[in-house]
Amino acid sequence: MEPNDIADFKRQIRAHLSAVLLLAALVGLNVGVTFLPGEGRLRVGVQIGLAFLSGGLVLTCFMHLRSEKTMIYAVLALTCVLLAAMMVLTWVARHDHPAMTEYHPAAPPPAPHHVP
Amino acid sequence: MDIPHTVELREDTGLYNGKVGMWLFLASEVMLFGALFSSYVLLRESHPDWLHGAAKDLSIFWGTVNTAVLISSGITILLAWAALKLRDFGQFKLWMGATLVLGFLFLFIKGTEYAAKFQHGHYPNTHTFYAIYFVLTGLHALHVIGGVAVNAWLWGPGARLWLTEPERFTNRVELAGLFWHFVDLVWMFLFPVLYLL
Repeated sequence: MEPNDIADFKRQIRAHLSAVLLLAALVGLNVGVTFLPGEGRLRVGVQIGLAFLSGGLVLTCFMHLRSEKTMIYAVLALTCVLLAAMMVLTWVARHDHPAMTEYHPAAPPPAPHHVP
Repeated sequence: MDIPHTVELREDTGLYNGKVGMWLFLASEVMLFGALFSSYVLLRESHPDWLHGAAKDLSIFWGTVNTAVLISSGITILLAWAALKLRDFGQFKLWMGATLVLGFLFLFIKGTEYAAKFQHGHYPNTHTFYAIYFVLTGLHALHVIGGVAVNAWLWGPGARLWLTEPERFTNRVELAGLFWHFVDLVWMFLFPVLYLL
């Protein structure tokens, strides 16, 4: 490496290290949201969103997807399409249970009769 | 016999072959974990009392510690690769050694968590949640073991390649790092999905 390249490379590595702090903050935020009062789809959505942000940071910074070659992007684009199709199909078909595989929670036991 | 394009870039892709191979492998891994995540969604949506008496037993504290361990190991393997780029083999040994230690630490904590689950009578056949929990985290742990094995080889006997073909060795470390970051990436989804939701 030329001296200029070395300086540039070291600058990139420092940028990666600062990205780690952001990643840690995102994970901390995700854990923090867990302890907020209330349940439901909104919280699930927020936590999944934070997970995607964390994953995106790992992909772009640590796996160098910010500056990759076209072929890698092409491979990943196809993978994303297939993955999204699989997830959508799963979601659409989530209530299509084959016969005899539906879950029926057991009925609560009847209250005992008081016999005088 | 020389294997072509282990160091020099191909004209058509602009990449060395190992990198294309690793990304294709990671794409197949995305589909493998994706299928299991879609199973998780299906099971969670189908089971009315999905979390009843099960998920609250997972330790968010230890899950968070393991996340910190994996993130730290992502930094150390990055620094190991950077050290090779800067021709500092001593620093490479140091950072790759640290990556190995952190990998073992992750497995130790995971093993402790498994032991606690078994002690409390939670097995894969105990509950739908634990079925998917053990499958997802078990498969992830197998990947960590695979990554640790490759990293240990590169840190130990495989490092001899540095003496004869430093560029090729640096590329190998880069590929090991890609795989390790992928393991990290999967955990970024496993942790909230299993421990936090």
